[in-house]
Amino acid sequence: MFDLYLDYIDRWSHGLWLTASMSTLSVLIGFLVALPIGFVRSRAKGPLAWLAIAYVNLFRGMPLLVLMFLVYYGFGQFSSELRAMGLWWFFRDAYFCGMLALILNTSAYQAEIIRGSLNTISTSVIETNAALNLTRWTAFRRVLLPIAFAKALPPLGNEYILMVKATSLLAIITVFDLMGEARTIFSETLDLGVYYVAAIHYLVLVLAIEWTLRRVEARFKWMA
Amino acid sequence: MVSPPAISFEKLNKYYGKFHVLKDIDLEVAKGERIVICGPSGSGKSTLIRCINRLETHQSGRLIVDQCEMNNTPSTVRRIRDRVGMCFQHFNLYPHLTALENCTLSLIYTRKMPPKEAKQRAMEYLARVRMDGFAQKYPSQLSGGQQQRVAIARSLCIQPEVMLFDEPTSALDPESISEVLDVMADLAIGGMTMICVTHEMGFARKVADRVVFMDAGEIVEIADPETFFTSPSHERSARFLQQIINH
Repeated sequence: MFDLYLDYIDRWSHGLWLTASMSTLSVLIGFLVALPIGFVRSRAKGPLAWLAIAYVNLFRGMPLLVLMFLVYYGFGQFSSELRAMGLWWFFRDAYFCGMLALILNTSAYQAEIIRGSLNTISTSVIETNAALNLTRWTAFRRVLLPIAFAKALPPLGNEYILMVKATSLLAIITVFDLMGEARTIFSETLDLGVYYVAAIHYLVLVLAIEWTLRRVEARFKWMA
Repeated sequence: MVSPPAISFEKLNKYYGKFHVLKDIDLEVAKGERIVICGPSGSGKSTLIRCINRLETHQSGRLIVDQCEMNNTPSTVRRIRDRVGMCFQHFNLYPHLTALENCTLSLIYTRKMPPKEAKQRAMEYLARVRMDGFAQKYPSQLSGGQQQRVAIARSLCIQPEVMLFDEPTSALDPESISEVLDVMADLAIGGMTMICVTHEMGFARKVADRVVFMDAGEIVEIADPETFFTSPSHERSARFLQQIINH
């Protein structure tokens, strides 16, 4: 099994890099997308709120694999239209399509996490914002957001770890992430030990993330 | 010339649905006056002072704060909140900000004060409540009394015309109560217009110019503390005082 690792170390490293970078990037971009959606879910009423609910339900209600197929193969059906719109470079690339699917999926989950943590902020905080005459923007940016973020950190970390493992589906749409590399190495060696090596990679990656998250959470020492 | 009152309520009424919380409130508070509002729980004391900075809305009557009539216009509400400081029962410090940052937040972002100047002013007021040594501490690292003193400094930073205190010592242990009351008494000596909802009768006696007794949404009696405590003119206030003294 050690040989399986050493003989293909370049491929493993490449796969690890893709898995780590794609999951991290999609979680970060997904967070930025989720922020306004979660805020709208928590505070707004009317059409905007319906739109946010529709977004969350659509992308949470669809398996990630199905979403990847729809983006990668589904959009491929409209290649001529996409070419005309100048978007084909994006949709012909499995990497970009995979990223898009990951972002749509994780942003729906993260929006719900953000909504939940915004909802747990007590009315006394809102009243204090009013009594101190904070503008809406200041109240959001300097008070609600930091408090909500600190509360959301543990579930967001959980979502990050889930995403690391969910990226393994990318292999099916031909991305050479950890799982994609494992599949090609297996096809050459026909040694099932390959998947143990892949599993250990995932495990180490998740442990590293877990360690980092714990350090980040420790910085929020004011959360009594 | 008599200076206009800091606050005046005229026939103010408030309802929660069908429940009549404040009934025909008439009250004038002069500049520099110290008012203590007391009464049994549920009598509308807190609701009354929360109307002054629009944490509660009233349905009829007038409320004039510092010559500005309260209405639904956001600019009016902002203008009035700019002149009114408030301390809450549970301090309500922002948990993610240090004592100093709690004080400078609205100076920097609402009043657009340069951070350096804001910091200087905040330190000045933290020193006045004897909390300047704790400027870099987070609320979770402070005792209740310390937190309330920071909250008082935070309100003072905006240099308000009126300070509202909503049961500032009710959530504190006896030792912390006196440190907070001392700070409030200092403020009173400095000439701040103050309206305090409190059950601290010793404080009321020492500091208040007038005591307002409320029951069931009405002002039952307004009297100077000496008269109120020795010979209350209403049976309801007498009964309330009896209960407080018995404990």
